[in-house]
Amino acid sequence: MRQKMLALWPLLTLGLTAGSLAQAQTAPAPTASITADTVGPLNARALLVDTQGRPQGEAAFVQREDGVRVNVQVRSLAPGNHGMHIHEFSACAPGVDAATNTVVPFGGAGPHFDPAMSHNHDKPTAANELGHGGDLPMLTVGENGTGRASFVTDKISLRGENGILNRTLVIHANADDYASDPAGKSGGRVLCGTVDRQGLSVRDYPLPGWQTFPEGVTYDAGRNLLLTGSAQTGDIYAVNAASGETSLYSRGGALGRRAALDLKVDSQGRLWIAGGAEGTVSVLDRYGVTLKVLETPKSPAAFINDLALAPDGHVYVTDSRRPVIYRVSPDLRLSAWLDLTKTPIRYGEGDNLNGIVATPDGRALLIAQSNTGDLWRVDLRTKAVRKVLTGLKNADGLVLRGQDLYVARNRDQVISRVRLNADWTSAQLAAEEPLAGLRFPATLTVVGSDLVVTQAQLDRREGGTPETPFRLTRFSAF
Amino acid sequence: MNKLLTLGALLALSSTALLNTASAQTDAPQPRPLPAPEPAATVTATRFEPVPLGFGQEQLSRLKVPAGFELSVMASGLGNARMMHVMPDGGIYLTRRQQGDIWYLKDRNGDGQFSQPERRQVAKNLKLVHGLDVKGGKLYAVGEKTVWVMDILAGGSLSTPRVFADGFPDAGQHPARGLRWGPDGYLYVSFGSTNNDTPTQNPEEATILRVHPDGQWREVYASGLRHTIGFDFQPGTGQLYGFDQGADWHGDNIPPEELNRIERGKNYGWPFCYGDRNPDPYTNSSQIPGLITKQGYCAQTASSVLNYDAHAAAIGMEFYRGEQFPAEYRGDAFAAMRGSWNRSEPSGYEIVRAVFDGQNRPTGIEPFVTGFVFPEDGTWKQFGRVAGIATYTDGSLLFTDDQSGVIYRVQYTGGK
Repeated sequence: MRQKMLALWPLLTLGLTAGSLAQAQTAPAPTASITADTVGPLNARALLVDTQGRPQGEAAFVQREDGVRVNVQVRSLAPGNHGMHIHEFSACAPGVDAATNTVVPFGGAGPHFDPAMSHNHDKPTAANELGHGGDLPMLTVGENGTGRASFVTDKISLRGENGILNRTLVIHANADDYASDPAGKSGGRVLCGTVDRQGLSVRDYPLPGWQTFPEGVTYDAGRNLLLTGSAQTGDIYAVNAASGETSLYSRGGALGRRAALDLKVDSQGRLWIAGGAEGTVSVLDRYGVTLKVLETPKSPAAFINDLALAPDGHVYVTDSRRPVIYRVSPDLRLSAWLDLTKTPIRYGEGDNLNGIVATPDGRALLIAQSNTGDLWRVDLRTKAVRKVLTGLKNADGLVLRGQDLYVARNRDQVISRVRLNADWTSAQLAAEEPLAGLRFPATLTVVGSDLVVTQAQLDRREGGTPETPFRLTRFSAF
Repeated sequence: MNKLLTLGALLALSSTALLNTASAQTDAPQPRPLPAPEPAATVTATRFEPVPLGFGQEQLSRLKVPAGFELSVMASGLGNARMMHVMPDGGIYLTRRQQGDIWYLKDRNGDGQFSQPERRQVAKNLKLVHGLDVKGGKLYAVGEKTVWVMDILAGGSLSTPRVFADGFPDAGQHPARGLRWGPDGYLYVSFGSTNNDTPTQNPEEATILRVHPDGQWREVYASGLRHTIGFDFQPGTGQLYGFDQGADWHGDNIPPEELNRIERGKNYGWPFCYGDRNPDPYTNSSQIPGLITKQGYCAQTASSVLNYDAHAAAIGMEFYRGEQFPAEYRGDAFAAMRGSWNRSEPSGYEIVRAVFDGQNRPTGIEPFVTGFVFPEDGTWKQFGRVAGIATYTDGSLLFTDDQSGVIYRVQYTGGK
């Protein structure tokens, strides 16, 4: 709590909560520069259930230019004011409450949604840097046990870094003091609903493990297998794309195999693994047994992030910290292919070159730079480098489908579709999709007319707790 | 925009996806914001090393073998005699971990003794050399952090050792490495934990690693194995079995020694779980990755197939491939239990037999050679710490005592 008693005055008026109260008093929360359209209308619903699982109300969310219109109605609640918040996770299930370290009803919804990492509970008019993005106005319930609220807020969104899709709306037993951490002394969680995107369905593939952090995914069409790997442990899992059945494909942990970032399966069924900070590229045979581990020069700054299989059999490798593109020859020898300090690409703080694809005509590499949001084209014959597009901040994995480039934008929680011209020299942003809610989407792969994306939750390695099960999400190409 | 037309096709899939999610949520442990609280657990532990006695022929009468078997001594005074590999011609390579060397022994005159002229140091300066195996005319041996390879020359001599694979974890508390070539053509090498009962930083510790035939790369084949020294591939099935040593200082009976059927990719529980996925009440649960509950962690691990006396300290283990022993022993495994130092009444100090049934399933572990430890004058005394085990060319069973450097031989003479 940073603003002391000042926060108490809005209590009375907030209880009434009609109209666009939150937006009127809030400094604009930072939003990712997302301007492209989604596939369909962007709205969501949450069916609110009590701790017995009985439906006791619902909430509707409609994306507008100026924020999200929220309509909530409940019944069978105690008269008075009830704290109402967006929580981080999707599960209206029992889970651990950190304050008491015990399992409580709807504890599985996790803590308040806090996209700007304010670590502070505050009033619903505070900017997200100052208070949880999920701090909504209280809900007032009348003597008959019913309550309604309708407001617009820009603290939350249905897309971008403030996106609440597949998170939860939780209503508490007591009033919210809009101040006390972590939840304004609003008491137990009495109603909970998952914020479900309307009019769009996806398929989740749950993954085993509780520290899986799946960064890479690739599709072995011959075996109808999705292969995904743990950024934390290097474990590789195989997922049957039809049944969803998972199995451990290769245990990580051996020298050179302690992390798995981007993955690619080649025409021989061999699996290529970007080794991240270990600075390695590993090749597994089609049975998941290590064939070779290729090492880049030893360095504390190594970050081998992404791989592209070129039509001529070479594999191109990005390093997000060291300004060089590596290349692996068909006889499995690794060398530095392009010194980026002699190109227009400038390395800075954060993750630099990341997702990489080779065009199917073998003419060029397309490479995303995460920290600048630039999309680069590198000519495979002349090594000429040119910028094709900018504005793709937090761009991670890439996948090409015809002239369409799909870009996983991890912290922005969206997938962007970029349309390229025939010689891959110009591009425009065509669409942006949060799907049904994405948690740090890292890489993508094409499965027939669908795509599969990893929900890596890598930001939860920097702080907080990931939600399990980790999952891959399959969706129709848009 | 392609609108919603294509998206509708996935509707049918989504209902199954929900089912999958539901089951996975109940199966997968939930990472927690804080370590899961556990009740206090108090342990009484005893350090007790029976009084060591030197080897002498007069002690032999204390040793017991099953009816029909006879025990003899082939050599003594061999120093820290640990693991053995028997060549088809009867020559034996013996590692001495403390001395860091390999000896070649051969009973040329057939008197059942490795007399002084029949013993020869054939490799040295191999730090903590322990497990060994032979393939393709080469001897492979593993020490602290290195696997060496040596060409086998005429008369049992060895070429100068070369590094075959390197960069393995520190040895710490458990420097006895095991090594065996698998039927799949890969080399299996075990690396115990550096410590007693906490997670290790190097994920290659407390594992069996499977090394590529060229020695260049390896994978973690199985993990959660605190100190599996002896392991072997079951004849016929090729399944890998190994004995694992449980943690110290957790009391007289927890955790037991485990016989594991070791399968690729599985975690056998150490340091948090023992036996049949039992949570160990004495390990520090706040160090569990993801702060999940100990119960939840153990549920994800693999169970042992059989348990044996805590602290008995299995070292060498081998399936019996000879034909001298009666039919009921064929396909069984023998292991050397070096003996406890952390139990109020000593366990181990014996050779045990792991009995396998007609379907190649292990059914029990029973003592085979006993008597190395005995009560006397109000305390316990011992005259042998058994370590290596091997089947001799005639089908008799050899085992070493690393305290007095003895090689024992068990022969079946029943019915003759």
